[in-house]
Amino acid sequence: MTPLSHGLRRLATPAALLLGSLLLSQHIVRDSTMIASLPDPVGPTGWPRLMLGAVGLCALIWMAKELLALRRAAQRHTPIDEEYEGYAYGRAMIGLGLVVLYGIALPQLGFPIATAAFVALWCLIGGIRRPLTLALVTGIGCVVLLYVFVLLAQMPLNRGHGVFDGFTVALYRLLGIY
Amino acid sequence: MDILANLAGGFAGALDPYNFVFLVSGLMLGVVAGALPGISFVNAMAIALPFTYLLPPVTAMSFLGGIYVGGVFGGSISSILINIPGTPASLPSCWDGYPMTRKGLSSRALSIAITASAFGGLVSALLLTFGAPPFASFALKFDQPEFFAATILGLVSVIAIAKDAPLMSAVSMFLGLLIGTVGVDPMYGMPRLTLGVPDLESGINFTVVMIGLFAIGEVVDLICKRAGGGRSITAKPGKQVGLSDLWRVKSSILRGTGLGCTIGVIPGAGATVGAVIAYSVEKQACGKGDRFGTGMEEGLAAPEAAKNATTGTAMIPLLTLGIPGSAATAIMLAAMLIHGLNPGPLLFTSNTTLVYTIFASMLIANLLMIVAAMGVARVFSTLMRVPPAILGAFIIVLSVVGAYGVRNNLFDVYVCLAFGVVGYFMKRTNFPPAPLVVGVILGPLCERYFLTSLANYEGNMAVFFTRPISGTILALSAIFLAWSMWPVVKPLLRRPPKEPPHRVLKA
Repeated sequence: MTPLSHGLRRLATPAALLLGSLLLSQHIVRDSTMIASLPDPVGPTGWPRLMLGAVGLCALIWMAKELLALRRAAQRHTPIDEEYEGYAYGRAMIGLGLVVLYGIALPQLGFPIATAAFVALWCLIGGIRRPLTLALVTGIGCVVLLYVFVLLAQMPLNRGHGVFDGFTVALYRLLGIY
Repeated sequence: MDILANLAGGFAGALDPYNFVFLVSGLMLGVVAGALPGISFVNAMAIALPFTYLLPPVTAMSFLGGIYVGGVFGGSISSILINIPGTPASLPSCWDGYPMTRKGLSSRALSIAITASAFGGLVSALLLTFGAPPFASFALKFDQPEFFAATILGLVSVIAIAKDAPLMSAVSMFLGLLIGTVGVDPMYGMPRLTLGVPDLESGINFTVVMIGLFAIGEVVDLICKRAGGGRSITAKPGKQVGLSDLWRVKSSILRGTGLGCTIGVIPGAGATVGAVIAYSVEKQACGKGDRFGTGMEEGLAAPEAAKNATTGTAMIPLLTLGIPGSAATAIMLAAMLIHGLNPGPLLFTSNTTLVYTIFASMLIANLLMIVAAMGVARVFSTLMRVPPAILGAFIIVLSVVGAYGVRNNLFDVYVCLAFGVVGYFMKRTNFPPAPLVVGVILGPLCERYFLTSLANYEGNMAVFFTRPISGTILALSAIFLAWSMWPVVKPLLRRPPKEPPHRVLKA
């Protein structure tokens, strides 16, 4: 990777922070005409604006620091090596995707089904391949969670929609929770 | 005498069977979480936090206090036995603890570590018990501008202590403060930064942010680093440690304890800084520095004592001023706020029983830690056999249930998962999450103190600088900030060096 492309990549985060703070400062409240009539000079937007300013200022210093490093590296024409110690980025992305999918699936499938599916898939991407281990971990783990949170703590965990709601209710009856 | 009488009441509260069971459970949970590499006691505290809603305030604080005390030590078990620090603060324990294990002295190393930690923690808890009330009496002189200044000092010290990345810490903290402003404003009831999302009008809950950042982000990272199983532990436990052996390292334990207690009281410092400094000081002070790293008992005892000695004194600024100096104390603050308790000098008069029960719980937890740590160390090899994927899956499920339980609201789950993704990328880019969490918690408090100060003093901004105590605290904050940001500003002013530095990005 050349110092220029590397430097530009490193500039992306502070630049995004600066841009974000500038954009957000225009949208602190929905209707800015409402605050114009307030006698208070600080008002509801004063504190957030101060924080956005601080983020912007820090981002500017950060950019200056990166630009300086970029200039120095370019003057020396030195390539910047990147070493990765075999970190499984692909697995991380799948893991993050699975976490997000779990959140989306919860209201649709209900807590028991979504959790069982999530635990099984997570264990699979984590390298657990034996079907018996997978079945035991998923089954026993989910039943314990249901007893603790639905029966003991009486948390109104989501039961899902349509057929999934019916399945959850039947499962709760089978387990003696309902 | 008042303190002793109150402490007796505190012991009665802490030894109440219900509270005691939760204290012991918290302690065990903390030691286990600390001992498991990749899962720190902060993760455990963040996951446990929403479940404390169901508990009375005293029980909740005892439970979290137990996790805190147990977790700070727990990390040393994996450091000593398998050379993997369970928590960052346990890193110095690897340097001389693991060489002892390699020599076949694992039991001896564990005994020294547990005794030193328990001693450090106990002295620190005593300092908390007898030092916090006079400090709280002094803090009774504080008005809104002083509280604002103290909050600013707490925020600045979080940046100051991150000497390696002060700019990143500052950005992280300001982002946290900004997140804290989302929702209806405290003076005019006007929704801010909601971007048209009605669910955001009730604000972003700090518990949800903490769970996402500390639990989910960490677990995703853990699964990518540790696909393999645990490592084998040396079978030779070695000769047990006796009282005479402990007496030989008394100076190291005392030095470590003194340093830990002092460093703990500085907001933003914490166990990691305490342990590393104690190791460096011990290397110079004990006269055997050249042999450090080869399994020296002094090199293990000092950082162990210092690490746990920070736990009690770190609670002094938290309880007396409401300033959390670390992620762990930030979670303690969050728990107090959840239960409607406002930390500060008034807490000592309005909730005396609760305050002294916390003190007593800290004292008891440090004593019980010896038993708990020994028990966990014995079953450690079994614990290490649990694949990280299974642990990770259930930590995420518990986090999701915990986030849902905050307000029985699915939106909080989405926010938690979003912060989990953010937390993962923060971890990968070395963006510190702790300042963000401190910012989210202290932001609304800081804004409230700022606005009420202006309201009480006719909008006069000079009030923060002209009042002696707030002026002094703000001056101290400015010095602290300048000192911490100097490494960032210095290269911008300096001429480029002749030799090019060789940059390496580590995965």
